[in-house]
Amino acid sequence: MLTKLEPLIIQETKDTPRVILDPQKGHFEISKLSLPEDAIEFYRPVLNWLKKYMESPNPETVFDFNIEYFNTASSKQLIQILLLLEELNKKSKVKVRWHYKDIDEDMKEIGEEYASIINVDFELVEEH
Amino acid sequence: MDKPVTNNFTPEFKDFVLKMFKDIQQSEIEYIYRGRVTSDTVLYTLDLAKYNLEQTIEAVPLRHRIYFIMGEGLQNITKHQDAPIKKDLLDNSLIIISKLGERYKIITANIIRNNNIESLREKLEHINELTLSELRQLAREIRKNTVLDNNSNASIGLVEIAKRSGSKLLYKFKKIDGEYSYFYLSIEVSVNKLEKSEELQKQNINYLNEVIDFHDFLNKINVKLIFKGDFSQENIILLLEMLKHQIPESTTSIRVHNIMIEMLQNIEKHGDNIHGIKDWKPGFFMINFINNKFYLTSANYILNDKIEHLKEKLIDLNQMDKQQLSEHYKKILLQIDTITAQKTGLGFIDIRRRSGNQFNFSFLPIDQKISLFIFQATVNY
Repeated sequence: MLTKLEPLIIQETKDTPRVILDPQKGHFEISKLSLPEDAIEFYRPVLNWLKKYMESPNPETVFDFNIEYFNTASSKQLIQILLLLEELNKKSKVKVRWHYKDIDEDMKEIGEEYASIINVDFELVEEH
Repeated sequence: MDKPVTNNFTPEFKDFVLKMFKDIQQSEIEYIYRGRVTSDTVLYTLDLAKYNLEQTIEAVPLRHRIYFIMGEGLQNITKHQDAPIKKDLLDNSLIIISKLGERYKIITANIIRNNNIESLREKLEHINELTLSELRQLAREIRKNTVLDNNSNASIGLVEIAKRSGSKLLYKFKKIDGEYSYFYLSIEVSVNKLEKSEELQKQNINYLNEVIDFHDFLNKINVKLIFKGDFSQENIILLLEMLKHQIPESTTSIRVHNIMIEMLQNIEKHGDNIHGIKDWKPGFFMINFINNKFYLTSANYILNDKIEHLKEKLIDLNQMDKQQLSEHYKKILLQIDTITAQKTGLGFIDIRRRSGNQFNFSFLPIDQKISLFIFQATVNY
């Protein structure tokens, strides 16, 4: 049984990412740029939505992080999302896919670091 | 442990940053761009200047006039520019907007082939001899002529500039080598009717010569991007876009881009203000590339009572090795009490980790309350 929670869709702007959280379609994604001045404000609805979703999640959640650039203010919020996914992993299956451009060594390294902090199935996906 | 990189952080360099910075408050240089001028960068440069002009010039007609002349001046660069064999020379194009009292100056520099100098000089001299009504007449004639070759196409720009600015075109050619020269064009725009005195003319020539020396310095240290002004989020996004056009994408360019994001947002978030003007975060930012290294330099005001704490933090980070930095990063990342704080404490750690080199930094006292914080990160190519 899939959850009936309304999807959360936020279109990207010149400095905030695209967010798609759609349980019906099984589509969970944060992509593009994440450079908001106020990262806490931007990610608050995302974190709130995830907390609700955790009450009756899909049997499996595949979450794609496909961010080109993010500021350190965003990283603090992204780790909160990952910690929630770790929590979710205790009751249903979770997979995180961390996408990075092949030339972006730093983004790969950050992914590896997050993978070491968070206890979920964490896949690093190289993009060309 | 990484060695500090010092060859770009000399006393002369710090003096230069201080001078550039002080000018912001005295409103001398309002805007500066050095780099390749292409149709893409023309758009970004105009957007960035437009935003800055909106913040600093209240009179809308004057703003429009400056904006228009800038546009013509920039397009003039792309039209008059001779493509040199040494492509790097194209990165030396320059545009500066300065304010001297009530007068605004727009100075552009571009590359020209030595054997094209004479014909351009003739055109400029011809334009300078004409009265305003003759300029209007000439502009109409050029437009009517349906067959425009490249040269006349460019001179319509010069005619328009002379017409709209209401001032004579001040210019200079400076030889680069046997084949190429810089063509400097100085255009003046004023709120009031321009005075025409010999004294003023002398002043203008002196100022142009100063800009030429300044240009020489920027070329020597190979400036890829330079900006001074207000560090609002709008400007930050424009600068990031511009950088994409200035440096071809690579592992290093992405690293430079990421460090730049942190440095610019640091100024935006934590920069202090000398005159207490709300939301005005004056700052300076520059990227230069020498000896296979990118140097990213920022400068902003800081209250003196914040210095000790910041200094300690930077010294600590400079002493950490890769492993220690990684552990420190994770610790701060997971610290609960800063999750909801705007100050994440991660910015400098992130810069230090990505750059792989120690920071250079300096606090230059301005007065009893405030100092100038100059910060530099280095990225090896």
